Amino acid sequence: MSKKKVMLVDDEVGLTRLMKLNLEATEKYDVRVENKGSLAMSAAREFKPDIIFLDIIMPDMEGSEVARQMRADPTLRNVPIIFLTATITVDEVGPTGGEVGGETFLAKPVTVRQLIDCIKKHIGE
Amino acid sequence: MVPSTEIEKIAERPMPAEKLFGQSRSTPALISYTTLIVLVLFSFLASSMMKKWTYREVNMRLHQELEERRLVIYSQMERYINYLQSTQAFFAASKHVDRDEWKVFVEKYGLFEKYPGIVATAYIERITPETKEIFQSEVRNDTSILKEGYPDFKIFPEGDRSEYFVIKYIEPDSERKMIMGFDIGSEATRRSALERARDLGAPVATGRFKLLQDKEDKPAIGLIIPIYKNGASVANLNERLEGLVGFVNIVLRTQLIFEKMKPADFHNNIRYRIYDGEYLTRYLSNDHLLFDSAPDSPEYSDNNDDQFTSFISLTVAERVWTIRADGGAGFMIEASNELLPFYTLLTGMVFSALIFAIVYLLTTARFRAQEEAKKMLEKLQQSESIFHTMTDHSPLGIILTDREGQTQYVNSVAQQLSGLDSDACLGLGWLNAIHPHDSERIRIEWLQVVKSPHLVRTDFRFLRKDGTTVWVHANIAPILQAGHVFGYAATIEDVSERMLMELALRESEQYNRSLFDQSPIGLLLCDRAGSIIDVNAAFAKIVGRSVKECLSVTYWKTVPKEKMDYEKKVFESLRSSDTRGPYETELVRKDGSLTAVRIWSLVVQKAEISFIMSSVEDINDRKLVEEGLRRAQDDLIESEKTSMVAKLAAGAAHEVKNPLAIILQGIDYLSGCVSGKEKEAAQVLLDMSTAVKRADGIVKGLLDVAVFTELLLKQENINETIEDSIRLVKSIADHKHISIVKKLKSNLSKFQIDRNKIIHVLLNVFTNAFDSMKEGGTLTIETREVLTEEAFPHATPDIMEKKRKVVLINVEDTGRGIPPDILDHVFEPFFTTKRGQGGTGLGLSLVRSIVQMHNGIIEIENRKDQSGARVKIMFPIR
Repeated sequence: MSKKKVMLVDDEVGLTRLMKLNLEATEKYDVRVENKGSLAMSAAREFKPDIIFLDIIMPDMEGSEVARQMRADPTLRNVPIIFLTATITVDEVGPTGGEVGGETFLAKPVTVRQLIDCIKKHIGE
Repeated sequence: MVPSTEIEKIAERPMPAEKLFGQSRSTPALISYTTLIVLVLFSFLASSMMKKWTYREVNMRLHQELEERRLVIYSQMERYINYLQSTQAFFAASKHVDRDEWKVFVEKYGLFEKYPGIVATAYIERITPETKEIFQSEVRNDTSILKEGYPDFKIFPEGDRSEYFVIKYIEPDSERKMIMGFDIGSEATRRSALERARDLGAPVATGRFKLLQDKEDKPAIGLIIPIYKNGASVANLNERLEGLVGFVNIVLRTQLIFEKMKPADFHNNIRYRIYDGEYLTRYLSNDHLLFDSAPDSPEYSDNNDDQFTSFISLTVAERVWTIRADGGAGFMIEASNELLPFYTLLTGMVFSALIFAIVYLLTTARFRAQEEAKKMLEKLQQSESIFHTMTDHSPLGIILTDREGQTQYVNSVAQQLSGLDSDACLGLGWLNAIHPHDSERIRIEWLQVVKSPHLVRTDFRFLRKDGTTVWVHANIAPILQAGHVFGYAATIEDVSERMLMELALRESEQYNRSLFDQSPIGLLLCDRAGSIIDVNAAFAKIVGRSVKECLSVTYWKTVPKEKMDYEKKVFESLRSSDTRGPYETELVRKDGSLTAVRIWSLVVQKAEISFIMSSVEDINDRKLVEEGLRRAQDDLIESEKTSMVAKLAAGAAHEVKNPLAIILQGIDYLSGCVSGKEKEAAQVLLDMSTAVKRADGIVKGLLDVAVFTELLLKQENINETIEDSIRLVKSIADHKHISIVKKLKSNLSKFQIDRNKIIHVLLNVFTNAFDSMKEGGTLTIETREVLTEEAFPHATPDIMEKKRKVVLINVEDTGRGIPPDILDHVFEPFFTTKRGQGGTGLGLSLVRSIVQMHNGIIEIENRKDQSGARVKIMFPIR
């Protein structure tokens, strides 16, 4: 079975490193990390992820802007984008994320378990 | 009308006669008879005057004649005197005058031919007793004329006298025999005359005497002239006495002298009489009569009015004579005949004047009547003109009617007021213009006036053709002429303005009154002493009394004791200044409670008396509101603080979340690295994980407090939300044996809430309640719809309008309650009494934020009825 391709866009280096480690430890996922929002676009085109986790608040480009760009790209339009952010709470969106205003949010801090469950929810096994 | 008196004056101007007789039907006859009588009397008067005048004229005529006669008589006598003067001259010229010389002289002089009435003329010689005999002999022997001389000559009367004035020569001869030798000095009258002549040296006339030769007493006089010595100076009396030789005289029959003198004219009608002497009355004695022109005429009676008598005096030869003229009827007739032309003229003139007067009056009567009529017409026209000017320019409408009330004249103002033109008004037409509401009444009033004349004052409206209404006031008065009504005059005044003004005034007064009465601010009018004159309902309410009660107390009754001095000072100070305030104080209500007010006072003048008008504003609400406001301000500051903190927290939280996320991920990773055998390591990781989660919880709490972007609002039924919330905590309640009582009003209006947030709020509230209650206890949850002011009396408009409809959620517990010193701080962020139990202190501050975001209000207080807290949450119904 091919591994699902997961893209992580977040300016927090430590976090992305660990998340990548944890996800790849399951051997189910191929994880590409991008710490600069402005570069996420080209990285995604190149990596062609199955799911993207976007941080909202990034210094060089807002996650929402990145999302917009991605959606504008025909190759990335259908890729589910999960906003992974500290700005909301679990209460608001549930442990495995939830929709708020049409967008899917996942609240930090998040455990690996929660991540995996979220991925499963959106792109299956 | 005023001018009529002018006309009356002219028309009834009394004729002069009427002024005397008054005015009545019989006056003309009276005038005529009176005129007749007057004229008759006048005629009598005139005739008597004429008579007098005529007599006077006749008298004058007589006198004139008399004067002429006098002249004639005088001149006649002068002739005789001239003769004497001639003889004097003759004697003076001759050394001696002989008898024959004398005779020649006299004859040549023609004395007897030319001089009527001369009886004789004689030369008288003065003889003294000594020369008497010589003289007599001389004369006897004088043969100059008679050869024989005069042998019988002797001086007679016989006797011896001192001197003798003897007639020596005498002519005519016929007299000689008798007279020659007569001593005329022996006769008194003649003697006096002689002496007088001697003394005066001038011809002298004697008085009347009887001639010797006369048997009857026929009037005769003598004229004597003294003869002096030849060449003698006779300048003075002595010389004259000395020089006297003799006299020459003439003896005259005076009657005869003048008989010849009859003038041609109406001598016949005048009787002349000459008297010797000066008499100017009728009473002349015939003894002195010298001449009578009508000796046979009877003596006139003195009472005869047709007698005219005149006198004049005349001096002849030193003798005064009086000439009397008597004119009888004949004279009068003759004289008056001369006046006839004059009479005729006079009569003619009188008749002319009379006829002239009649003709004049007749002809001018008509003219005068016409003039009068013209004058009256003029006055009438003036009167008319005045009338028209007045009525045309009158600001009042004027309507004139005849006796039956039919309109005759309508002036322009009346037309304008009634909206009808002149023709439409005629007859009773103007009544048609009256407003229907007043029409009947006015018609009745009008008819009443016509029936019994009296002055009517009335008000009514005209409804004009153009639809406008005019209020008018009318005076209707009967027009009288000589006590009879011959018409009516109505003056009409437009009082619309006045009406409107009155209405406006009344409205204004009502308006003012209602302003006073209905002012939401208490108004108080009192006098300087504090007695209440007037209050409005608002004030009464403030002091907890009825308006009536207020009026019966003084202001001081409403002033609390402690404020009394201040209030009195205020009142005092109002004496000098006019306004005071605003100042805040308290008043005492009827029930004794104090009420906070703000007062403005000012002095008002009403009919010269000054009062104090105060506006009293109830500021209790405001005070509360101020409280609330202060609290709100505090809250605001708090919430500002909160939001600042929240923002900080949010920022911090966000920053912390990432490291926490890393740690968590790290723990996950490390968990994978640690085998199950290393229990301690596993435990460590577990502890770490727990810690992270706890930290995360705090962060979450912080983030919760942060300002979140939007509420997710949806129309919800609050009761359902509450039910959901209750369900969530049911288990905890049951666990503590707390019973939950629900009093949820059904059919509450739905309103928009963020359901999750509200659940959060409720959960928080419930949790707190549970925490305060021990075992048992009751949580009562109530919802209902109310007005803001009921739920939150001191809500200010910026928080919530007082009359806003709101849904009130009331949550009451039976717990410990909240200690009063904590009550003010419960909503403060980070304030918690449960820090030890993990309380972050953010719960209630977040709850309040959420409620405020919904534009609601939340309050926490202790229950009054029992121990426990009450939370009131209020949401406006949107």
